[in-house]
Amino acid sequence: MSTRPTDAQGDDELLRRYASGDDDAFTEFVVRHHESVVAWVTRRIGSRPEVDDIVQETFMSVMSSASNFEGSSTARAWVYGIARNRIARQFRRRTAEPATFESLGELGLRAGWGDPEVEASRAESIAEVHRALKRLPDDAREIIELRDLEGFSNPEVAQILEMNVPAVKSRLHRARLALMAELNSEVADG
Amino acid sequence: MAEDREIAGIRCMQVLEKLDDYVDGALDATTQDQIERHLEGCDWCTKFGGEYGALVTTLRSGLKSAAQADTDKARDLASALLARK
Ligand SMILES: [Zn+2]
Repeated sequence: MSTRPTDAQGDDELLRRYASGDDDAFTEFVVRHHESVVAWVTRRIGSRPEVDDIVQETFMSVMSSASNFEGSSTARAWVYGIARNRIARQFRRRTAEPATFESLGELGLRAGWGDPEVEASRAESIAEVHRALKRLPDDAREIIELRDLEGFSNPEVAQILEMNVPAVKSRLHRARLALMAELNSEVADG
Repeated sequence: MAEDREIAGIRCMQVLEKLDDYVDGALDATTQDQIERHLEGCDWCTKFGGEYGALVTTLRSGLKSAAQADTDKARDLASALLARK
């Protein structure tokens, strides 16, 4: 639903042109995506020396598999998926399902649903929201970052996380509720 | 203590499950209408849905716009990678 800074058709075209021998098209593709990939990798692993290596390996992989890109989702989502795999390889991050099985009802209650004590329309500042986001489990934080901060659609997030769309929607919903719960506890803690 | 109330033929719990699609405007007209009628009669869902929507809006207010910075770094990387082919 959100508009992308770079148009997806242009990305597909650049990959096609590169695959048929036009090196300038690759350069243009890197220029389009480099900064946001650097920012996202940094957000994921923090400001470390490995960021540059991961970004470099990501675009190297783009270069070697440009001809295999099938446009199943968007090129931007494809690049993020590659970067995510590089991060996982480097840091051996487990991408397993979360171990908690809190019911949606319980999660909703913690998030303040049906609680008459919760102040009406309490507006959080962006800074407060980002602080609370940092305290969420990694899988919850990651899906909110992709969907709401990077602006990917549900099908794009599904491609990046290698999940199906219903699973993405379910994880996103739980993640947003967990974020609300975190914001509530911040208020409760003073 | 919250209960799962049924208003306009839909329970609060079902409204909760559909909040993301509601916020995204991705519901079919019938469900959208049903949820709106539920909200008219349910103060919990109105308040909670409002907060939920506000949170998503706050998150997305930081959505990155097209960046035109530091293309030199990107060009250098592309040249280095192409030279290694
Ligand atoms: Zn309700």
